[in-house]
Amino acid sequence: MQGDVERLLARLLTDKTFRQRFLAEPTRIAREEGLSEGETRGVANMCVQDLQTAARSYQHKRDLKGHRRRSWLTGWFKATR
Amino acid sequence: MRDRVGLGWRPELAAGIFDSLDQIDVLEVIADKYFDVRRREWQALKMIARQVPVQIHSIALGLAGTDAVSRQRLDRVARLVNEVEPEAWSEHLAFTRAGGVEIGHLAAPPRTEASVEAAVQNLERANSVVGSKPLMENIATLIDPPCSQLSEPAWIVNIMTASGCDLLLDLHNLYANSINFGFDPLQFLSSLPLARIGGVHIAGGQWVTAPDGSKSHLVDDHLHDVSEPVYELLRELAARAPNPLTVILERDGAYPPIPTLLQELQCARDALAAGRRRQQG
Repeated sequence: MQGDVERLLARLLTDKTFRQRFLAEPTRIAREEGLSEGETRGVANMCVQDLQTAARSYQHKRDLKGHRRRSWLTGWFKATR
Repeated sequence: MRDRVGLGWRPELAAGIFDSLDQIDVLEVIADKYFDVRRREWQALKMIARQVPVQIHSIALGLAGTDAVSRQRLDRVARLVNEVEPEAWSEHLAFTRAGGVEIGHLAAPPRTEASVEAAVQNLERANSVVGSKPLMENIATLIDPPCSQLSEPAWIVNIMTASGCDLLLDLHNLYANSINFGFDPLQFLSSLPLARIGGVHIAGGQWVTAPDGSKSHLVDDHLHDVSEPVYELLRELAARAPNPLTVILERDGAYPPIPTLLQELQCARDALAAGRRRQQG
């Protein structure tokens, strides 16, 4: 199901431990997550480098968002004063 | 109507923007920044909207995901749109959460008929709650979505056709994907209904290397200057698109002095003018 693949991708992009488990045994993990055989083959064939770069980029963006959330109001008040 | 060029509104750039409104045709405001602010900031935004056309850009609805879009999130967008009365609002062809997992950023879903259907249903909900259809933006992705059955342009066109939503074409996202996945961005452009381009984004990015050093990717980070290939795509788009284009420069940090950003806007105007000359000639 589409939703199962999306959930697996979401976990791969946010959960380092889960990602490491998946990269070690992609087929087993995909099956455990309820993916069909076709979906399992699809996710097992994902480019490892793409996934790792994406996960690092997402982590960086989440970190940046947290920082910006803190500094945003300060910036706004300075600019409009 | 004529082609227009504008800038993403960022509080860090506010002073420079106010001093340069004669060179900025339109401003794009990130909706999510205004959900939890005080009345004073809403009033300031409405004041800006009285001086220059404003568009609202939402970034976390996750309209292309299988999960139904949150009514609460839609209500917040609706309230902002109702208050500010922008000329348009937009979101991304992305999912941002799935099965209770918040990703915290935009992710590309598998491009399937199921995700087309899910996107169309979410877009119908968005239209119903907000009162107007959003422009939908193509996203940059570092992962070729697994289990996909459709090409990216075919997937986009299917959603546009079924939902009636027009496209916010992000040229840096298109360029980055073309580099990272090895396709021809001009052929991609040819696959789109260019009469239904409702807006254009331009931005910059940077190269990053995979942790094992084996591969590099172009990342759309909005922290760098617009590169020449993106202006070239803008020229090409202007040479082909039948309707006036509204181009927004996105910059989310590492802000250069405002004259540098204004120079980038001028480069965009030059690219548009060059493309239009080609179209007319």
